[in-house]
Amino acid sequence: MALGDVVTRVVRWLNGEVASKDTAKSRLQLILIQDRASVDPQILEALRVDLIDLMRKYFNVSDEEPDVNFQREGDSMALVANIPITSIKGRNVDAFGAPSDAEAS
Amino acid sequence: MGRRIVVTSGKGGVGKTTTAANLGAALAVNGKKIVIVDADIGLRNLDVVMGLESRVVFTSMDVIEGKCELNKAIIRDKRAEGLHILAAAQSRNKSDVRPEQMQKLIRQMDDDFDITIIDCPAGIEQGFENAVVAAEEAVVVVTPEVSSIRDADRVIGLLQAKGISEPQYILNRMSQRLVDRGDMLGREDVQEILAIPLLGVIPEDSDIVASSNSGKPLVFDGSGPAAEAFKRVARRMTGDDIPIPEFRSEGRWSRLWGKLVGAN
Repeated sequence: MALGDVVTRVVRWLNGEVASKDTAKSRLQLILIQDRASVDPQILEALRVDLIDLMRKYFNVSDEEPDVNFQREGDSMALVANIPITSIKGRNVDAFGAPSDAEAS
Repeated sequence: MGRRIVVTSGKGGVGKTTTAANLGAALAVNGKKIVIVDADIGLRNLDVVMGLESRVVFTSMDVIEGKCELNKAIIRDKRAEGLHILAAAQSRNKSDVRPEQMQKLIRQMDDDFDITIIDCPAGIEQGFENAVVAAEEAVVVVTPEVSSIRDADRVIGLLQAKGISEPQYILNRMSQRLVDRGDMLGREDVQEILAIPLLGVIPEDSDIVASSNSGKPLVFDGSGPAAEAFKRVARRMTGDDIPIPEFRSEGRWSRLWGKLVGAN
């Protein structure tokens, strides 16, 4: 290894910078997990619709566009769904807090 | 029965044709009877990379369409005993050939050659299908970049789905200097991701540009790092147990020294 490369690495380390190859590697790993799982966007969309329908059975779901996606969690894939709930069926939920007095039964 | 090996990559511009040309030439120099088939119909380049463009009269398309005999279309490269190429048609499209036709064409050459090397076009569409259909082995050319490795991973999956159970890969255009600086994925990084056998590592080498400028595969008389690496890969392909060496990065001083003493 040439001296200049050692210096480059040390300077980077001192500045808390990540070597670009490490960035490349972690990006690749994430990309390939998605590619290999080959989650068809249509399947993902169908899953999203079904999930929301299921949630609606039990909760009142916000009309905001819910976010359903696959993410890397360590070495595996995780299904991450962010579906804002406004209230539980039959009672109001105040920011996931206690049921409000009005409709508590 | 000869071996039929497709050289592929998914991504374009990673060195498929250069690899096919140099491996074919090196294998022929080692005494094998070789034909390299350009499967890139409409964008043929193998003849140019090998400096044989002035000798192309008939193409694989003419053979497929019955306009000429196979042996008239195959061009013999006089620089190495046993080296031949079959050019692709330039004025046609990849969709003009069906996989069955390509398969029949390549099977026809089986008895006459020890190894048929198929230079696959970029992409994973019809041209890829045509190039892969007749192959039983595959060499995937990869450069140490995110886009190339991603495409290679996809291609490896497609090859396996087509029954090529153990594709191998060549890591092309490696710059040890960039690896040492932490700015290029190293051999171990790529190996960890692709997880198929590594056939060889070809270092980045400016001689490659000069060789394609002059239409002369590097392995004929080159002695630089890429030429030597291609020769080693060719020997590994025929069963020789040659380890893949560690490359040293050339610092400023060693490059200067190299210039002063006129080495390389």
